[in-house]
Amino acid sequence: MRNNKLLLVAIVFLGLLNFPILHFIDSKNSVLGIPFIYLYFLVVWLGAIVSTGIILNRNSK
Amino acid sequence: MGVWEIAFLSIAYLGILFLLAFWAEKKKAQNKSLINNPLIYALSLAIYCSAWTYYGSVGQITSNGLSFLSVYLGPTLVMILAWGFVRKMVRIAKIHNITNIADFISTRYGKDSRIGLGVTLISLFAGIPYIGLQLKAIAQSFDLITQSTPSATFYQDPSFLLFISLTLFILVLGPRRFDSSEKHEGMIFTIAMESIIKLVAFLAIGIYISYQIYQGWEGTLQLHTISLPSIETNGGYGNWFIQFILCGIAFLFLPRVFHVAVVEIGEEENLKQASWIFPLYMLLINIFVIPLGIAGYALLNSSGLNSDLYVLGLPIHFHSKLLAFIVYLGGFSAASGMVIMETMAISSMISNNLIMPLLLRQKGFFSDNQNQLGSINQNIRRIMIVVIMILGYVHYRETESLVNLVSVGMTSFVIVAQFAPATILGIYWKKASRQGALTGILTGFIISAALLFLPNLGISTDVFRIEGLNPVSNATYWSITFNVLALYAVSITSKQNGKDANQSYLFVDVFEYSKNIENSTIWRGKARLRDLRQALSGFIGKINTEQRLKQIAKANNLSLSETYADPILVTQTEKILAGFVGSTSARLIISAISKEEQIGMSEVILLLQKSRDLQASNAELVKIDAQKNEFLTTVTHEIRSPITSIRSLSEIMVEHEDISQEERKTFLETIIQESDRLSRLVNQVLDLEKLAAGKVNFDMHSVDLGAVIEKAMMNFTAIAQQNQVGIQVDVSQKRTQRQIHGDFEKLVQVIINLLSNAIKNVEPSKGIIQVRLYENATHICIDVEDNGIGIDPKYHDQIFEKFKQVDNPNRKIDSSGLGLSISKKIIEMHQGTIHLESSLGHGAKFILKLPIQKTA
Repeated sequence: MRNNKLLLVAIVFLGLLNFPILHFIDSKNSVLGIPFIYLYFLVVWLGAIVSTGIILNRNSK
Repeated sequence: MGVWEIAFLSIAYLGILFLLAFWAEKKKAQNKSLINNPLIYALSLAIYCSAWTYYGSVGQITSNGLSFLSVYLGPTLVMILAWGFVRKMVRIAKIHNITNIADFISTRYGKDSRIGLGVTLISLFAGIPYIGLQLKAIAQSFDLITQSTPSATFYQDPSFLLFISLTLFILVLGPRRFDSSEKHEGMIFTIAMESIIKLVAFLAIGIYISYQIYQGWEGTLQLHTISLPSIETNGGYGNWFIQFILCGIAFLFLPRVFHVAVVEIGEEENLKQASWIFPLYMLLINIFVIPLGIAGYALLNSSGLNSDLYVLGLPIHFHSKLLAFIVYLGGFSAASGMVIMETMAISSMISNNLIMPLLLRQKGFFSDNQNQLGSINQNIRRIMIVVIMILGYVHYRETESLVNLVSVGMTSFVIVAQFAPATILGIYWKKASRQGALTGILTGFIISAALLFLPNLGISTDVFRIEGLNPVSNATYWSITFNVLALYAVSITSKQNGKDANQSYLFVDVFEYSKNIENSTIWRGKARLRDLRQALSGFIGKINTEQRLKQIAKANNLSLSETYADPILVTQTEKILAGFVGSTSARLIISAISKEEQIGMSEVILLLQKSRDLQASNAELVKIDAQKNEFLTTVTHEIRSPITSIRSLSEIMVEHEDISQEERKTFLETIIQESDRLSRLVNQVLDLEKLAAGKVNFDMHSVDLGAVIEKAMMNFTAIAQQNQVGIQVDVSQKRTQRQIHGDFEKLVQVIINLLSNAIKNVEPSKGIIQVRLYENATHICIDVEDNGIGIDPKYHDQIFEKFKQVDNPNRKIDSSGLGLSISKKIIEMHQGTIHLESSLGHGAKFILKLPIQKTA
């Protein structure tokens, strides 16, 4: 079960950071001076890290 | 800062690292490992972030935009899945004592020496430029911070001194004499410390530029209106996707990363936390890449500084000496860490898969040097470390400085990624064969090398260029595709031999076999114990040899006093040796001291099946043990209740002398009843145990079952009348005189057991028990049927077990629960069967079937 969840995280991670999703994000806007695309990358990245940590530390079989 | 100042400080830094390593080793000797925890493990994985990360990413920003991120996103993807995938590799490596990627792959494929050699040479080919690149980063950053120009002759170059120090560092902390596990406590600890330094240094310069100088990101990015190339415009999504995947798979197969991730891991559990800590590390080290890149380009591009050195150029530009030194130290850490681990890993591969096998194949080498193989092995590694360092240095001195960090790194990635298909398929697909793996790796290597290097020699490979893909992605696409295809096609068409098949099972099903690996590794032949001892003591010394052999012998119940060694001792010795010299060389040593027999494929499958069955039967034994315990508890309980009543009744009689004669008589009768119950119970337990142990002698004759029923009825009629239960016997269905072969008295006992069982289940005065005798072509059968409350079908399986009594309101207390169990044993001894037909409320019918005696 745990490995299936991790696989899901990996697939979503790969999906969010590739075509076609990335095509919609790839803009020149910026938030607080940080290019939006870069911020998007950092957020997705951090999301994957946090999900992985949570899945592996929860007491599941 | 001055040349000698920096040179001195750098060497002093190495000195401090050395002391830290020394301290870690000392702690380890006191059994307080500093590295066996998730944080240090994750930090040691950051060895992946070399000078390429440290200096290269920033240099790429203005030309390639965000594409540098794929270098970290790919490995993040792998780390998310590490708990499943990397853990499997870790377990395999631990079980087989594997110490590098070449050994891993060759061990999987029947310990094929050609595969080990191929992987070694390819790793060397990819590793040398990569090491050269790090040395170049050290030298260039040294020149920049000291504002000196590189000397034309290498010995006048101060950075040469750093190179020498680094080499000495590796030699001292590297190859071990007596430790087969290839664990380098001190070295890993320094690598982790260096990872901290490089992260802190990079964050420091990032924060300094973005916040101190420019007051925030906005300032940094807007001050210089440089637009970053987007992923779409820079190579497009195809390149991005391919590099994403490429970096993920190459990550784990880089010799240094494989070494820290798979070999130097303390406990498997460490992987759990490292799966998120290491990606977090990569995220942190990348946060400031964009502002640094933009600031560097805006401020330093005009000065003509190599964009790979912007990170160091920036603090120098702002005359911040301290920060410049910290940044330099961070870069030195990134580069030196990579060089240390890479040379270690590659030197062990070369020694295990090239030099040792060459020496061992020389006639007489093994017998002449048997006692000093350990030190020969250690010296070979030392020499190899020096050779690799020199090759790396020469590569850096001789190549044009135009080549940037990233492209050399990427080229190495494409090449080591060729190990991925053979490894990944190898641990998930049993049919992947050695020919397949060899063909796949070679095909992939040749294609990638051709596409990447032929253009440098002026030979165009444009015919194979896929539109929109850059050379690296293009080479990745073609080489990996054909690698996988070749591996697959050859594997399904070639036949595995026994050894291959054995290894493929042990790898793919590692979690099933890991508890029972001694019995799952198959070897057949003859080896003298004396020779095994000698081969081992050449590496681990005489005392350790005896200890290890005793351990193995004890764990497997083997004797160490025989002339020829048990196969388990041989395979275990081979495993220990593999820790020192790799699987290929260990194989050669074992074949030098033994006469080995080939094992067929079908035999391997059979033996593996056995090994699995053994695990299953172990589980069965545990279950039986539990049943036995339960049995004992029930027996003691059953014995205790009559004893308690006997005791309390006797007590009453002793203490109260005034009780009436009548009462006294009732008490004494109860005592007699209880004693009877007790002795019956004890007899039954004894009977059952004897039956189970097969110790009961059966007095076998021709038996007429009609007579058996008659005898049982004689004993039983009185009891039936007492309980007001009617018994009907019908023997009219048995028309012939055929008999069975059996023990008359024991069969009477069975019928009595069934009848008493029936009596307990029916209501007095309403109960009717029917006994029927009949026959069919092969069997004579007896039904004992009652009209009692019946037994729920869900208990039918349990009813014949010891002490299993189904809850029954009508149950009389004097049933021990052993009768049916005994009856079943007796009937089984007669090759007969007994079973029950019943449902709740509809009575119970026991059916006995006994085979008809064959007339002589």
